[in-house]
Amino acid sequence: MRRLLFTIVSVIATLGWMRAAQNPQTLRVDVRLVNVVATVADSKGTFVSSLTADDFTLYEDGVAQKIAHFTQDRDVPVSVGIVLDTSGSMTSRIGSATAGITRFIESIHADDDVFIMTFARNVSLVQDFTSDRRKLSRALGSIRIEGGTAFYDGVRHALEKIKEGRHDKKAILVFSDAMDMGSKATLEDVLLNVRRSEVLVYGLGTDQTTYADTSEHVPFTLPTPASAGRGPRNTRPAAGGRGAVASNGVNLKVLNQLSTSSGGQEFLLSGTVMDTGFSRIDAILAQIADEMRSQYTLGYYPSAPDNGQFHSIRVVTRPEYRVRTRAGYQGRE
Amino acid sequence: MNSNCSRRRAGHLFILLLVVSVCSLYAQVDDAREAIRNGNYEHAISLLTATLEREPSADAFLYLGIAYAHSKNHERAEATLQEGGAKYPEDPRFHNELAGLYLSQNEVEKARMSLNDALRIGPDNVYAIDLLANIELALRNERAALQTWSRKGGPMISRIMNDGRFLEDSHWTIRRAVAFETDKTLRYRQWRTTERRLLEFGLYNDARLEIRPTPTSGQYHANIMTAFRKNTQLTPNDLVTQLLSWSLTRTFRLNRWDIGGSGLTVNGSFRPSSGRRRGELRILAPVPMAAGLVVEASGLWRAERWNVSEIAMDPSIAPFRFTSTGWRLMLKAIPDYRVEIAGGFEFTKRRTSGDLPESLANRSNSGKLLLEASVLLTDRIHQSRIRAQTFVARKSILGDLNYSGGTLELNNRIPLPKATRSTIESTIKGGTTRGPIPLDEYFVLGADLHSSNLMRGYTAFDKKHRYNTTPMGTHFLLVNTTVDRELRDLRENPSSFFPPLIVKAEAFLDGGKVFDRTGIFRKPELLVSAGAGLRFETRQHALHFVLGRSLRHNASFTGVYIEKRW
Repeated sequence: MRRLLFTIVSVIATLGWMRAAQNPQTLRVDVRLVNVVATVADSKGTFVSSLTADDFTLYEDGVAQKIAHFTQDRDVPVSVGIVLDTSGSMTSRIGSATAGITRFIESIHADDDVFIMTFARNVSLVQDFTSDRRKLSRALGSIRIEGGTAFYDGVRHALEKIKEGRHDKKAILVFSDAMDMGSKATLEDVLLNVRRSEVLVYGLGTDQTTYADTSEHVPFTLPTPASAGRGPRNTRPAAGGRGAVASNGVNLKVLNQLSTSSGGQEFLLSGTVMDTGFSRIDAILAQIADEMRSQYTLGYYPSAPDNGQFHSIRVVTRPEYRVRTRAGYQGRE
Repeated sequence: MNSNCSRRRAGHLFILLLVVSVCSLYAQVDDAREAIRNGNYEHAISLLTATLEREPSADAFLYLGIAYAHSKNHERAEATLQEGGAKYPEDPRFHNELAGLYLSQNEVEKARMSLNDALRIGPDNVYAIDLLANIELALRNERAALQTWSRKGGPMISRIMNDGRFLEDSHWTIRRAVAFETDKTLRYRQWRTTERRLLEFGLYNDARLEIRPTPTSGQYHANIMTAFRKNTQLTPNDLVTQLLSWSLTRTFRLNRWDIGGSGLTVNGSFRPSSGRRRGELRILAPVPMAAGLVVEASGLWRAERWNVSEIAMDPSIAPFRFTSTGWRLMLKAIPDYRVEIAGGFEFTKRRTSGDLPESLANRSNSGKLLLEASVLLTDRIHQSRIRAQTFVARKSILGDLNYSGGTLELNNRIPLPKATRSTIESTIKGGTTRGPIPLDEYFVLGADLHSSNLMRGYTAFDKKHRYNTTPMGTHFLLVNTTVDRELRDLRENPSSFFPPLIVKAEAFLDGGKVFDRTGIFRKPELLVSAGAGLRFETRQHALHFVLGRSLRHNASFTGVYIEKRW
């Protein structure tokens, strides 16, 4: 009897399987996991790192999404790309930039792997991914100034390179005046790559060195032997305020576009001859290092299928806190 | 009693109102400063204008001028600062800010005058001293800059840096070259010695000085800015450079600077021209000792066809071949930027083939000791240098010949009035030899890529690329005079690829005479040549494109030559 029952069940199961094989049903599961890095700060700008998943609500294209994955990144190692403009405009800043980066590298997580890339006329990988601080420091010491500013090429190459990083969390720090000259890539190419990646981009705008604190003095830069021979410039009254391209020659608009597209941030490294050291660059790099350890990573499976378009992302938390994330992501289909 | 009391109260009230109104005026200046800090210049201007109407003050004038400057209304800024300066003649800040305003307009001379006005009011005004010195330093007038700082006993160096890094993190050659110390005042002589050594090491296209204040008054960071030379690689840019070098000099070059971070440099060149084939290899090694010691080892191979029939007493001398291989080892020291001493040994193996007079042939090997010294006699507006070279060849030191000789030269550089941007350079040079000298030790007056005795109307080779159509002899006397005018200063943003460069136009007049005690070459006659050209000056070398013509003979030179600058 038991043998008969087993035979009947087996036959039914086999027939069922054969039927299923003859009439396959298409079952499509959208397994796109979208990760969003969220930086939360209070009204004073202090990073908040004590929130839980329940404190966040995440919207894609205005529709609330279920948070499937949540981490607080305090001990999460990061793959970091350092991208340094080595064009002529950086002549007087390269030393303080490399010194600041050296101190930054020494202060970050021991497992963080870092690569160093430079760009001027061409893009060069000065040091491949490594956690060896001595190698990185040596590579920084070998950096030399060149001609040209292939800014977009530099960022695009860095976005490709960072994909090889060992860690899920990835960030790129770009030191440049962002005044591109001679790139093959365009701003649109770079922005598209940023929106498709899950990489944080931090733009550090390095301006021309002014002489002293410009809020207390008339702003000017020191003459050069070449400029001194050219005689006076034409004076033309102009309205005050800060434009997209700052008067100090930094294309902050581009740095801002890259940063907001990725969830990073842009900074202006205003230097003066009267500066006593590298406090400004050190403070900013310390802030970035602190920020990367205070962030949250929120993962979700989008409720709507990917239509290949840009999908906006918005994350909200407790009303007393401000949240910064990437503006969205570019669909692939 | 009551009236006294009420009068006293009214008085107190008046004083209180006065204090409140003064405080409110100060608060308005503070608000305006905050507005400038936030980039809200229009608001700052309206606040300060209102303050000036009610209660003019030095601060209100000053910050109004600064706010106008920020909003790029330079005329109003200048007028406001000048008015403030006139109303408060004891306040040097107006002159300081006027200097900044003029600098922003690239009016350097006016900026200098304003800062000197500030220093007349307050001779110890630190901002004016620092800015004036920094302007001079930025314009690469290191002497003027350091003299300005010396008004207050500075600059006292707190830390020495290289390209913004601490000196300890920099290349060892930079650490070895530095001729000044921390906690001591930096003097011009010490900087020039540092600079001179760095350039002599051959690794750098440029060396500049930056002086940056520290929080401690009178203490400064000295930042040595360097531009490393780029190694030749097969990038498109390098190929373009090679092609350019080939088209100008018909020579292939290969340079490797700072091999493996050792400071070692190898320069190789090869000229394949059939009539004057030449290969050269030079190894330059800075020595990790004080005094800027450099060891230079070089090898030279020549395979040339000579034709001296035009300059010899006997015009029937047929063209012949000359080959030589030589090695040289020199040790050079720069104890001070004014003094350079070098000594070494040179061995040369020669071979000639063809129908030659006995006196020119059969001299195969020579081993000679060399000694060179150069002293900068004056280094103010007028610069002059004396340079001597001697050599002694003896059979006892690997040679077949005993001979000796030397040259002595005096170089002068006199700038003409500043507005002309011109300079006169002159060289008086003489040379003599004793004993039976080999063919290639004769003094040659002419022009070639690396000529030591310039006579720019005579080319060192003929149209068939055969040596030697220029006057030769065992003794000579030469006078070179060149007037140049600066056309373009391209020293901004030097890089490892492009060295800092100044382009000049030049006109020259050369006079010379050669004497030959061996009786092989023509009797002495006065040689005169004149011409003009373009000069591209880097920190160490000058590349000349010239067109020169002999005023006595039917000879001319059109081409390129390179000379080491002093």
